[in-house]
Order: sequence, then structure tokens, then C-alpha cells
Amino acid sequence: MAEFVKVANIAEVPPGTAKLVFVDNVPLALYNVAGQIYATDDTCTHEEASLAEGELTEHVIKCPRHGAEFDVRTGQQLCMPAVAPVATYAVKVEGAVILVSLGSRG
Amino acid sequence: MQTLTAFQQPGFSAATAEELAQLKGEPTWLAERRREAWRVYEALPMPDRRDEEWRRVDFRALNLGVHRAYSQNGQPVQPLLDLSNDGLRKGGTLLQHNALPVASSLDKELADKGVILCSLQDAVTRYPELVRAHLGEALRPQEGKFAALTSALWSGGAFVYVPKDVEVTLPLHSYSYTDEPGLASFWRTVLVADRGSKVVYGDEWLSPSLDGQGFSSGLAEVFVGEGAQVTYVTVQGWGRQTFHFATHRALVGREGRFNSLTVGLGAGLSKTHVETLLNGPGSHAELLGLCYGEGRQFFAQHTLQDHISPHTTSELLFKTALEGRSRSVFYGLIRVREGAQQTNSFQTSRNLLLSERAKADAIPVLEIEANDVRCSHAAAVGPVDEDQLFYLMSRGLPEADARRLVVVGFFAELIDKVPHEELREKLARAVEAKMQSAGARA
Repeated sequence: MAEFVKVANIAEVPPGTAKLVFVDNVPLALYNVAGQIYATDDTCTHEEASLAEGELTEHVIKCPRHGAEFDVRTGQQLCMPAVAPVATYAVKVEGAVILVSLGSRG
Repeated sequence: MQTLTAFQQPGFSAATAEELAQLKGEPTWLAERRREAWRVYEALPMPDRRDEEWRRVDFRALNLGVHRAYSQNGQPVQPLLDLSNDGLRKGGTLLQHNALPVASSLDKELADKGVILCSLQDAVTRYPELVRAHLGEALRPQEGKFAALTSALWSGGAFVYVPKDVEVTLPLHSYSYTDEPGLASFWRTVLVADRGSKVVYGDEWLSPSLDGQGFSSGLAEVFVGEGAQVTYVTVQGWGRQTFHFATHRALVGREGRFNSLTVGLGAGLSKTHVETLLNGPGSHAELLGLCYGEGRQFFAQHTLQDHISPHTTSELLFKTALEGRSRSVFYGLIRVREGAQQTNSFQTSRNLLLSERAKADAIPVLEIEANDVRCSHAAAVGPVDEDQLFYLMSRGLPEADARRLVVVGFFAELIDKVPHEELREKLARAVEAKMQSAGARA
């Protein structure tokens, strides 16, 4: 399993928001869902749009380009035009630091 | 004496371009071109992902501030020597390490006929008129942000010249190996085939996997004179950390013939433009492209078959196979200008998905302004044919071997079109090696 790497401080991802980070040049989106942090690929599985720029409502992220929706907890696509889930990653929060492992895939 | 330090620091600036010109002892005209290119670079915005050309190309992770433009560390290192030992019999070879020329050779018979193969850097000194007449004539800094950056900061690259009516029987080849962490590769190739000449030339790039980011930005300009025949082959094998941006553009004169083979195997993100301008009546181009992706690799291939004069023909075949979570985008434009009557132009993009999470987009485009032409395009994306797999496995082959044979068969049509037997064999070996690598990573 790939090691956990620091990607952000908890203060950078307020509840109800998403943030773009990079791990090994791979863009990931972090989400704060009522204090719980989740991580997925930032790229929508429909087209190359940034999920971190989308609208987060509870645990659902809406892609800003064509409106595809994903459950950030599982990566499952919830509506068209997405037909494939987005990859999710293991997240650890140690103190104020958020760490993500690219080796854990959903 | 002024101390030159900008080139040693990460990041790029006008001072970097100035220092490069001084370090290389370049003539005034070239230094001024670098300055102008830097001005153009600063004036141009970074590409916008809302533009069609960039909407599927996610280069946000690229940090231009961490790369250096120039190295003074060039040696004939073993990986470079191994790279050049590829089984091809060659008429001339150029080796570059960290964008510095470290070795070159050219058959005496070719040199006596006036054939030139050397680094572009050396050509500026030894053949200034030839270089000045052609450098930047096909690709100008104004073409885009990365074209301007390369025009300002180029260091590596090759210059090839074949005089009138000279036929170069064996291929000429340049090999570039970059292993200095943080060193960007800004390269330029200028290939001039004078009237009636004939040459096969290849550029190949390799780097190991390194921590951090790699960055390659290059421009290749090919001038095919009247009645000349040029085959231009490129093999991109950068380490996975590399962002690779390249434009290859050929200007083909009357009755000229241009064949190109563009092979993409490496880099984490690769965006390559392969363009042919059929300037002269009766000119012809055949463009072949092969990509094989694995892991999270991304390949964007933008092609242009630009029919400017009447009675021109072109054919394009690009094939891509994708494993893991790799992605590709093919955007192929056939443009037929007003007056380019009796044009025949064909384009085919075929994409094989070897895993559920691989994805390919194929976008063929026609822009036709003449009314007596034949143009067609075809694009296909699909998984491995289960019937083919079943047939092979029913003959006793394990599934992995059966899938491997399917991939070999997929690329065979393209490899068979390469107009040089040893190049075909080299290409087949490269595909096999990539399959082994993909299997090892799975």
C-alpha cells in the first residue's frame, strides 16, 4: 500500500467545502462532510472537469461542467452523465493534518 | 565578468534566455530571437481549460517554477549508449545527455555529399545560414505558450540537412537521455530535405523515473523540398513524472512525400501535435501514430492534415491501447483549403481499451472549403473482443497470453505500414517491452 502523505491542513477544508490537492502529480479532491474528510480523484469520470470546483451538498459532489453527481464517501456515481464511479482514497487526520494514501482505491 | 546564475536556479525568466545565449556564445540574431520569444511567452496567457484544445488536458499539477532550463552535466552515460544500441543500422547518430551533445557520427560517404547531422546548438556555429533560413520558419513563438517558451529557452535538439538529390540509404537517428532531477528538456529539431533528396530520421527521448516533476517542451520543423521523400520517426519514452508537450510540423513541397511515425509510450501527461501542411501540388503525407498507456498515463494527440494546394493526398492511422486507468484523446483535423481541388484525405483513429477504467476519446473533424475532394474519417473505441479471446484461449493459451496476442494483432496493421523493416522490428520490440512493463505494474 502506498504511504500516507500530507496534503493539507484541516483548516483549509472547512465543512461543506471541497479542495484540490496533488499527490505525485495526481489531482485529488478533498471534501469535508460534517467534519469527516473524504478524498476522491478530482477528475469527473464523464469528462476532464474538476470535482473540487463543484458544489458539495452533504456527501454529494456535483460536477460543475455537466452536473454529474457522486457520493464522496464511496465514489459511486449517482446520476448521468457519469456512468462510472470516481476513485476514492484512504484518508487519515492526525491533529490538524490531512493525509491521503494513493494506494487505497475505491 | 558577469556571473551567470539564472540558468542554475529553478524557474524561468528573461534572464534565463539571456544567459543561455551568452553561455552558448550565440550570434546576435539568435539571441534577439530568444528575447522576442520570451516577450511573446510573457504576453500569452496560460492555456485555458475552457478552450476545446485543452479541455481534456489536465496539466494543473505542472509547476513551471521548479524546473531548470539548462545543464552543464553531459556525459556518454550507459543508459544513453544502451538506448542507441537498438538494432538499427544507421548512417549517422547523435547522442545527447541532459540536452548536451556528447557523441555523434556520420558515414563519411554522406558527409562528403554534404549531409549534415549534428546538434542544433553546433549547427548554429557551423552552418549559420542554413539554420537562420529555417529555424522558426515552420513554428513560430506566437503559436502558443509552450511554443514560445521553447523558442526562448531551447537547448537540446538536432539539425539535419540533406542536399539536393542525395539519397540517405540508412536512417539517421538522434537519442536523448535526461537524468538530472529538475532539468527541463527544451528541444528543437530542424530537418531540411532539399529538392529530390531522401532521408529517414528519428528522434528518441528517454528518462528514468525520478522524484518530483519532469518537463519536456519541444518543436520539430521538417521541410520537405520539391520531390523529396522524408520519413520522420519519434519515440517518446520519458519517465512517468514528465509532462511532455511537443509540436511536429512538416511543410511539404511540390510532389514531396512525407511519412511520419509518432510513438508515445512514456510520460505522465503527453500532448503532441502532429501536423502536415501540403503546400505543393501533388504532395503526399502518411501519418502513423501509436500510443500505449498504463497506470494513470494521459495521451493527447492532435493531428492536422492541411491540404493547401490541389492534387494532394494524405492518410492517417493512429492506434492507441490503454491499460489500467490510462486515458487518451485523439483530435484529428482534415482541412481542405479553397482551391485545393482533387484532394484525397483519409483519417482513422482506433482505440483499444484493455481495462474497465481506461478511457479514450476520438474526435475527428473535417473543414472543407473545396468542392471536388474525397475525404473520410473513421473513429472507434472499444474493449477487447471477447470472441477473439475465447478463440485464443480455446486453443490452450492462458488468458494473459491471449490478451497479449490481441494487442500485438491490434498494432500489427500499423506496424506493417512503417516503410522500413528494421524500424518495424524496433517498434514491435518497444510495444512488447511496454506490455511487459504494464503487466509488471498490474
